[in-house]
Amino acid sequence: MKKIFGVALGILTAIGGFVDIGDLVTNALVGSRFGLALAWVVVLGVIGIILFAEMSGRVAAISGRATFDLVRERLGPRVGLANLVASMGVTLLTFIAEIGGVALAIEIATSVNEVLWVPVVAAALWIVLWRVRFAVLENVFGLLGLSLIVFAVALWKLDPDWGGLWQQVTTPRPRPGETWTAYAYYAVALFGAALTPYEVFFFSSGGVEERWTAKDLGTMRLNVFLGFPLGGLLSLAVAAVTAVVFLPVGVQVDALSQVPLPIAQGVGKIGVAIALLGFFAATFGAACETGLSVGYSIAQFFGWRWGKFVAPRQAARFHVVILLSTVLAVAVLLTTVDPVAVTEYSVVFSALALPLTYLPILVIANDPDYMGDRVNGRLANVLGSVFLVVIVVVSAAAIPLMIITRGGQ
Amino acid sequence: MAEPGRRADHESHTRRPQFRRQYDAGLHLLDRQIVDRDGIPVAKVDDLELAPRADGRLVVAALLVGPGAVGARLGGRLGRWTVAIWRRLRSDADPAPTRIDAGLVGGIESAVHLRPSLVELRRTYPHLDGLERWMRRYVVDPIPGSGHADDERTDEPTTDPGIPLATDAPVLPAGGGRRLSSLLGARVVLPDGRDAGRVNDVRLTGGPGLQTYVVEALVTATRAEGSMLGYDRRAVRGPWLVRVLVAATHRDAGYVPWRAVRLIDWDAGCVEADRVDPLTDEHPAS
Repeated sequence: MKKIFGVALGILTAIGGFVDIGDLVTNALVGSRFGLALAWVVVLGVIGIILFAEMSGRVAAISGRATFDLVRERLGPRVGLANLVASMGVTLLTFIAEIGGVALAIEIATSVNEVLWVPVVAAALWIVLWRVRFAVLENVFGLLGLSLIVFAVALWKLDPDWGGLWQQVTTPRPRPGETWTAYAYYAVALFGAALTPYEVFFFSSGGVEERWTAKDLGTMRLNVFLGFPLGGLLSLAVAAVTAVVFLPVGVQVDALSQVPLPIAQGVGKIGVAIALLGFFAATFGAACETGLSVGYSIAQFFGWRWGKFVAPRQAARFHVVILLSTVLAVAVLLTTVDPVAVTEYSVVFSALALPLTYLPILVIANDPDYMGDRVNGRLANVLGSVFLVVIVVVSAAAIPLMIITRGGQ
Repeated sequence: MAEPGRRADHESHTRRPQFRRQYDAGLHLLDRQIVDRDGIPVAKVDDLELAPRADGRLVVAALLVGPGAVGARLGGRLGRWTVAIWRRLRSDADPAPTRIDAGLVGGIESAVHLRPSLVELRRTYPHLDGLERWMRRYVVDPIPGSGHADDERTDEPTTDPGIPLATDAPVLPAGGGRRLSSLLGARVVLPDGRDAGRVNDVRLTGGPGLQTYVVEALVTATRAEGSMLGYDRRAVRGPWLVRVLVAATHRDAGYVPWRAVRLIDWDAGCVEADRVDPLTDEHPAS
């Protein structure tokens, strides 16, 4: 019974944990501009994150080594360092976006400007990372993040023209008045939002620290195979409600405060309150994960001690990195930069940085020195290779598309 | 010192670490995580020190760790700056990277396992993780809730550095230590002056005990940069796409058995070899 509860808890937190500021903003924006014509990208991204997370979770369980430990080992210090700088830069950008997202969610609830909330949010976050038993918070925020299900409820209550929505899904091309390049740019952004590198750093580091073994593979796979697709459905629900409410009237979502409006129409005030709780939990949880991931990647690269189970003084360098990242995030957000804009760039840069960590994990997952008889099977390798191509193409296209479309305009 | 009983691992797996007969030093040792007897991360293998035995054969003498070791491998301006800053921050006049004696290694798996604990290592190697201890003392400990109160301060190094840990390592002729990284990438030249590629990896054989491993052969490739990701060994098969890509960028992998190595010019980064065999999977662990 306890075991079933543990497994269910893992799946539920994986659902809540999948959605973060990147998924919320990108899906809402895409829904309002393109309807569901980009839904296939979310599906593709979810398949990608399942593959990537399953491989790195399996590598963590069998070899006891986390992602960045292996990145340096396979790529050497020079290429590895370039990789570290790029991946950590993207994770830091995401960290900044998540803290901004938490502040925005509180602003919507309180009408007090988000810039004033930034130091408060960052201080609370740092205390959590410094001292609080993280497993507890991970579960609390994962479960509270489930309140985003209100988007699915709102969609059902809005009682849209289901046939019309399905037709948007099955006509994957830009609507009249939109260009193919803008369509492709947002495809890259959605892909990056679903497949953010920090999710994998966090997942595999957690696995190493919780000492997963071959026995835990079943539970790990259940979390990945059920939790992530259900999280992807939540993302699609966000896109669908904005498609139903904003697309016909031609309103483009460019602020987080617009995202819960369709819920007011579908479920009423209480729905908006629930959605805001969901925003808060999802972004705060993701802020914890990204903050830790910055520390994980540097510490693993240099071989330092790291972890959320060891006292800060036993992992001093790791905790100094987290402290400095938090200070940096506050400094950036206090320039009054728009967190939504930061988010939009962070998801595109995520797509850009993906191949750097994906390839080493794919290689290690095939190395019997590490994996024994748990190396990738044929299916994992066929899908893994297909995704290697997809990820490289998306990564190569990200910057040119960003320049051509001037950031999606 | 008696072999310490292994406490319950909390940061690593519990199997007793082992040695294999053969390692490719670049692939299996460089950049691997070093952990103490309890599985606690200590450092990365930033370089290896190879030293000539009395019969001239190169043997693994030590693991080199720290910015002073990895800086040289970074190369370029970044590498020079790393080493320069590290030298500046050290108080001794002519600092050398910390060298962890090869005899302290208890086994090699997905990590390099040391037999002593982190506390013992810090006593023996006072410069092992100076940055960690500096940050602990001046940044982390002053903040409430750092765990300061929960710990006895046993892990601080004692004032007299250099209490030696007992090892099984033989005493090597002094001053002969060379860095593995200065051999990797070295040009391989045949007697007729032809260029035969560059050293891509160094094959070691021996065991048990890292100090018993000798250089058995040099693995060569046409290009110095980039490892073969383990795809030069038959064991690593899939995925097909990656294997083909690695094969396309690393054609003509070669094998120079130690007998065929005439001379290693460490300063010029050049190896004179009698011949280069094609790399096959059946090279015996001589």
